[in-house]
Amino acid sequence: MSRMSIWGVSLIIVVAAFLLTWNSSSGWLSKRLPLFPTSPPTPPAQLPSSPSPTNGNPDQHEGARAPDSDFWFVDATREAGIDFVHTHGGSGKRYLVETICAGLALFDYDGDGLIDIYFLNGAPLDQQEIAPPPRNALYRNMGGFRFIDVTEEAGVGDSGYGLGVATADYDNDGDQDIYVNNFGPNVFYRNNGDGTFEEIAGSVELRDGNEVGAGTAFFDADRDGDLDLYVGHYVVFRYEDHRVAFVGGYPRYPSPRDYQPAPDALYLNNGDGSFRAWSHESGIAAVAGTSMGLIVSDIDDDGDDDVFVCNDVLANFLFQNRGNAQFTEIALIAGTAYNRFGSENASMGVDVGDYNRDGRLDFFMTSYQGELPVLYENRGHGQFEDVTIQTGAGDGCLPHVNWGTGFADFENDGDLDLFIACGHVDDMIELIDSSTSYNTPNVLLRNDGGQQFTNVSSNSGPGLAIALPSRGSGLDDLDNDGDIDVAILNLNTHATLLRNESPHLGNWIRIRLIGSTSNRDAVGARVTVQVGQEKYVDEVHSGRGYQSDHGRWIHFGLGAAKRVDAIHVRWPSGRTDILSGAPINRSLTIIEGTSSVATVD
Amino acid sequence: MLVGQMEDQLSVGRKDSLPSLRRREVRPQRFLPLLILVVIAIVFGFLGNRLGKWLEDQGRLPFLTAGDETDAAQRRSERIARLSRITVPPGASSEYVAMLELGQRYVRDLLAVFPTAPQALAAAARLQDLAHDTVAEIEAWKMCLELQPDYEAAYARLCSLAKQEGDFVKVIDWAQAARSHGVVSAEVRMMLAEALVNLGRKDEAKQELTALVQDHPDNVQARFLLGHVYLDEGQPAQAADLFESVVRAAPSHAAAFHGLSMAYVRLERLEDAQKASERLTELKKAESEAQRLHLADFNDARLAPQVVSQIATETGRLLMKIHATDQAQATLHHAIELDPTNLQAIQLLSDLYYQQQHYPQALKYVWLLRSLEPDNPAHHQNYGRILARWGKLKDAETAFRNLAMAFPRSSLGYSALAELYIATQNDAQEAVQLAEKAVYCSRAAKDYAILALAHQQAGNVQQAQVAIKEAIRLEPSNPHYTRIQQSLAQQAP
Repeated sequence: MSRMSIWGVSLIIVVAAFLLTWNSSSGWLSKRLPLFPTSPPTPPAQLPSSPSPTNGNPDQHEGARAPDSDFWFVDATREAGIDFVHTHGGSGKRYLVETICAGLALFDYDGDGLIDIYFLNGAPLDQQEIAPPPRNALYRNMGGFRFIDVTEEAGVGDSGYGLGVATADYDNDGDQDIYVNNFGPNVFYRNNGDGTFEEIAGSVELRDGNEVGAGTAFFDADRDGDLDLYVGHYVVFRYEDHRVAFVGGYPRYPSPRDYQPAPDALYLNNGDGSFRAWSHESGIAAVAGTSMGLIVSDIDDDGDDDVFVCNDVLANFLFQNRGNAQFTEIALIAGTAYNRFGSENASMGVDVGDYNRDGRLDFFMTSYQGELPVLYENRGHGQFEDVTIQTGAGDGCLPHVNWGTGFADFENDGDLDLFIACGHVDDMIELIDSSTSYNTPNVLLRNDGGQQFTNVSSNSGPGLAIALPSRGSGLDDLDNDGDIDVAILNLNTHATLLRNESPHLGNWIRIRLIGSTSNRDAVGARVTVQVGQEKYVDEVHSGRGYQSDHGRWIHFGLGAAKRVDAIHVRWPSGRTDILSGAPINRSLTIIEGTSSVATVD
Repeated sequence: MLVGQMEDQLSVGRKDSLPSLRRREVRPQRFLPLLILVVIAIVFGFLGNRLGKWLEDQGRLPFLTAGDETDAAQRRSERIARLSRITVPPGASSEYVAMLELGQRYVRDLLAVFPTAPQALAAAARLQDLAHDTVAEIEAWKMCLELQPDYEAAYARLCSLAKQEGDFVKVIDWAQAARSHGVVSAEVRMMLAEALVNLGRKDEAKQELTALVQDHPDNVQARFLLGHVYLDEGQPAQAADLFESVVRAAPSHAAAFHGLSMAYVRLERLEDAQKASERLTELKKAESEAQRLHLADFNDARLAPQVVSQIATETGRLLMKIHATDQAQATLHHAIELDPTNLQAIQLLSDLYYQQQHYPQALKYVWLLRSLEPDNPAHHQNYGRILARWGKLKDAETAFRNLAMAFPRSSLGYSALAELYIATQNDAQEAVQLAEKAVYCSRAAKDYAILALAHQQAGNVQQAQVAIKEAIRLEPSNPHYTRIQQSLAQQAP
């Protein structure tokens, strides 16, 4: 190459380098050379800016705790050995029941002081076959957040279409029995006390026909010292009535409104291990609804148990117990039938807790996309008021369908936070609606001093970043470390176990009651923990949240309190025990009629 | 070929290339000046770039405006191209996809011919809504607002989308942007108020709702929501008043009975609360059954032709503006074919035939409008007007008289008759009486102007001046009224 050509190439390179550098990343060049005349620029309207993405701490997905986070949940499913996968049994025909399943139960089936987990499963619908057939699964807690599948040896692998579950010691023999509310005949597993169960629904008259089940709960409706059973029913469903709705050009699941509502059922315990139907006599069957989650609670503080039933797109029910297993439906009068604007929600799950520590138990109820969940504050005298907006108790929930829920003091600071399991019913929803999603992260609302809730989901660890179509959830201390962990059943996919690794902001106390005159599980007992002028109130439940059961332990976060002054227990029998000198940061057992506590650790 | 032979050939090749490499022996020092120059060029280029950006930020590069415009135009054309594309995800029903594709063709043509027409962007937004692409829909509405910042439908939809996402702050932002551009539609204001309520901004919500109720006394939802604000504030008496007014205006408003029941309980009017609750229960039962029946026949794929029909209507409207009458006519016919109840398309087609003096066709479509909306006096008035323009004055007079009898509280019949008498210079006194009735009904500038003309024809110049003065007061920018005033001034003694 000649000297001239070298210098020519060099010159070109230099000019090119200059121009490229000058013009790089929105440089001038492209702006300096108009190719054709353009119209004058339109002055921009004053428009709101685009929403900025909600960035939590980017580290959280790698598991690093955010420095300013009060809560930290990690996904411990795999390491815990939980390999349960739920199946909704769908064949693409989009039966309504596929969308609403299912619940789970947290309970100690073998009495070893560790909380075990029972997951419900679906079943093939409309004469299909799935191999191997899905079945419910029981996981035994081995300690150290390790679980093993003991379904086979326990004999609780029902292959019916599971929806709701409740556990309790129905025969007062000291162990936990399981009732499963199916789509189809229900099953009732009596605990043999040796790690195995026997299915006895047929022999004790608890098959409950061929209904579409929902939530279920044990409680002592007639205060005779044994546990009766409330069984929720969703809708009157027949395959031949099924039809697919089309929205936005896509097939979608039908609405519960496409079906007739169904009355729920109540069964009274005869005390000899058998039950008798009491639905009509009690007044429960006088009204038909579309039951989903339900909870039993003494709403009017008169010592007997009332029943709150979430109805899907119908007014909720609140069955007030007249004291003798006779009920009057009073939701409209009590203010819990509708939300504050008089609209019936697609109510899903429900829990009860004293969110503002006024000594009265309030209800929190989840609902559908486009509806806020509802926090019904107990104003006393059987009156409730929707305070969702004032308290922010629906923050982050509006675009999503909400299911399982529970009040729990996750960081032990002394007030009850809220966990809300989310996930859409429609697996094609993103195709027609970008404001929501089928797989949805769950929501955690922090209670700020009993006045206001703040959505802290995006800053509470990788466990809260998991997006799945969640349904039932259970809240309890799965590793006995003094904080509440979370188990979640996700529709048609694997379950999730969230281990609470939040920094402990306070002390705690965990109480298990054992009835002597009352039912042995003390379901319906009310516990008040007195710390100075502060009172912490809770009840013992069986059947809670969305078609689930959170067990019988009561957990109180105590904040900075260094001691508990007194524990008042109002037993279902009517007896009251007052105990003092209880240690903190311990799990305690209290037996009815004794004025002492036993430490369980 | 044997492996050994291949290796030989390769080695031969390598040997051949060696001499040339040796001839061009690398001497780095020869390229050093070039390297230095390149580095200098990069440094200067970088500095120039930074300087340019700084000057640009300071607004000191006016000579670049044309380039900016080109850039903006290019970006805009890319954005427009994006808006006329739809993604049809698999699984949608074939009839729905067919409608989407038809809508896409309309929108593509619309944006190609009328890239700066806000209506074209609005049509694109509706198409993207149909295609469930919210991001593209929002982009289309935003572009629409860039072209016409007071485009009411854009704000209404943007507020609605933000509400759907549960982003009440964004709803407020859009509603305030609307207000800043003079858009004060009740729909947007209602969404603003709802967002304020949902955010617990009670005082602002109360202020907004109070103003809304004042401006739109018939807006039952505003009254309902204001009732709830009063209830929250602990003023059940005011709340009860509002809920009572809602159930008077809308006796089947179940939620208002719920509010009423709550208000009565707080007022300790327990018997009234019980009655309200009973009515609420009855209405909810009826509502539930109605919803069940509605769902039994629900398939919103049927809405798709309606949306595409609206898009076709916008296309027709724009084609009319550029006097492409044949294409406009065909498009509007298609719009009506897609949705036989599309009132706008029918109205436009009637107007088009009227402009073309095809009066029988114009009448046919106005007649259709009358049958679809029998309670709308405007269609009856248009019917008479077409007859009048066609020269069928007796028939027009009969049509207007029927209109005045059918809608005695509407000014339209009286004003149309008055206009007819003025135009035909027939019975000036009756024209005055009719115009007075019209003014009594509407107090609208247009009717004052007709009254002025009627007085003028009747020789009452002074009264005509009073009437036209009122018309101008109501509508100062109308040049027609000014001309009438000038003409009257010349007539005045």
